[in-house]
Amino acid sequence: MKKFLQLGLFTLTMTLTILLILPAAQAVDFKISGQIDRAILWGDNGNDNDVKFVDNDNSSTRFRFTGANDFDEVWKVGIVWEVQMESNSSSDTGGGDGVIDIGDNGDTSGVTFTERKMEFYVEHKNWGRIILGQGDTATNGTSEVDLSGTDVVSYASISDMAGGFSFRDKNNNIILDSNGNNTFIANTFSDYDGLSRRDRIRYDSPKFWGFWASAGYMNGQTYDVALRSAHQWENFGKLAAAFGYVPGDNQRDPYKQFSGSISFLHNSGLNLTISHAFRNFDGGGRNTAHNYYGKLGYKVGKWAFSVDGDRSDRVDQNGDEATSFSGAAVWNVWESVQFYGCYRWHKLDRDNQNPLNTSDPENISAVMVGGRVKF
Amino acid sequence: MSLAAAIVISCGGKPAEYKQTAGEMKEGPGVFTGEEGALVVYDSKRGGAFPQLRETSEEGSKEASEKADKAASAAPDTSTGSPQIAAGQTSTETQVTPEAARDFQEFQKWKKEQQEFREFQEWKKTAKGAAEYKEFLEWQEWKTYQEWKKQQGQ
Repeated sequence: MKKFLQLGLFTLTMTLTILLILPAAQAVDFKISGQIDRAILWGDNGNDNDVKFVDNDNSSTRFRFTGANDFDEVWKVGIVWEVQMESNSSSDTGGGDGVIDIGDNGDTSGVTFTERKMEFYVEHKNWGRIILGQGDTATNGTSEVDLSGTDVVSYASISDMAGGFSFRDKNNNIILDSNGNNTFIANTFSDYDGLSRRDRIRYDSPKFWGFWASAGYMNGQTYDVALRSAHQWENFGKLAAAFGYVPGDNQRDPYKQFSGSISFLHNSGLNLTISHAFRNFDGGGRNTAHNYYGKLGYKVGKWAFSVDGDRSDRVDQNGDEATSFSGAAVWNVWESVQFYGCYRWHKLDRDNQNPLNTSDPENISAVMVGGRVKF
Repeated sequence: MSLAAAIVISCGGKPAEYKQTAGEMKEGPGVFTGEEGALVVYDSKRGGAFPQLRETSEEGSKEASEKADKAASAAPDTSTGSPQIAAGQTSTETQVTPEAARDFQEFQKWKKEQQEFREFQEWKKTAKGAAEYKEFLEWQEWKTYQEWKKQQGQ
């Protein structure tokens, strides 16, 4: 297997070298784009409440450079360089110490300037696309297919909205896990969305009857595979789906993971989204963790509305059951500007309480109101 | 998964476009970048660097020149070189001088030539035009020769 992969890498390198010295470009373009997504976040942890000014981590502030070069009408070589630049990310846990938590009065020190994508791709009209660099793994997004139009503030990744808030007991002590670490919303909810973004090589097949497949290989001898689809019915609606699998069980990813999501948008504007994922831990005394997510939405004119529910089991530790419900509205006031609002309720049931805590975790309510502007 | 695939195919769904939106950058137009949604630094298909800026400026010039043309055509006698006010014109429309009208005509000519040149560039790029391009070069050579011959005769 390893030899096969090394051979694959060598072949790719050779292919790229040949491509670079082959015929002159037929069409070249280079573009810069970005967005600002800022919000006001109110939270109540059962003991105290607070207002925060945050960068909405559901779709963070960022900018990107893209460029592409066509060759011989069938080949295309391109680059994507996308970075995110957040000040007070709504899901920032401050490395476990809390930084935008309810009761913390300061801002994060400086901005977090983090990588998202730094990759180039070689694409053939009939053979598909190979991508090399930092970027989406093959399985990234497989838990997050969503046609509701409210994903800027509410989608399967629950912890993006208020992940930086910690659960408290009735005496305002932060809930500790079995290792003595603070427990934030971000620790207890996960949609196990593949392997997120990593340094990897990835292949995307061409589309066959609305289906396409992806596979990726990355550091730690780990790889992932995914299948996606998108279909529409003229007088009925549109359906999109994705399924991902991480065989894992290696030093970097000591687990097996499945993730999948389906979203249907009816022509009337009604839409339904379902997502499920599980992680089967390889030892460590951990039981399989699951996430179940469902959303019902309605799109009308410049508006999109949705209600959703989520259940994350055993994400932080065995015996955890985290539940969340939300109601969201998005107003696409202009094509480049949208305003949104969301109320989200979080509950954590913890069977294995740390003895230092005096009671069960209190529920957390949060309201986010903000806007996303593309420039 | 196979079952889902079978259901979709058997229901006669047509392949559709789908792009991940959750967690990703907003799709569509930008506040400053318009319909494009990105600042186009370079696009060879659209004539090189910053095509948006050039297109915007061309649109602006076109609007201005259309206005000038309208005013010029409304003023029947420009031979005297003095501004004239045609019936029905407002005082703001009288700001267009014969010089402006001439400039506009030159601009139109330049724009037409530029468009022709762009079309020529596009045509030159196509593999189909290779034989015709050779013929074009020969024609250019012949034309240069004709001009030289004409100069010799003078």
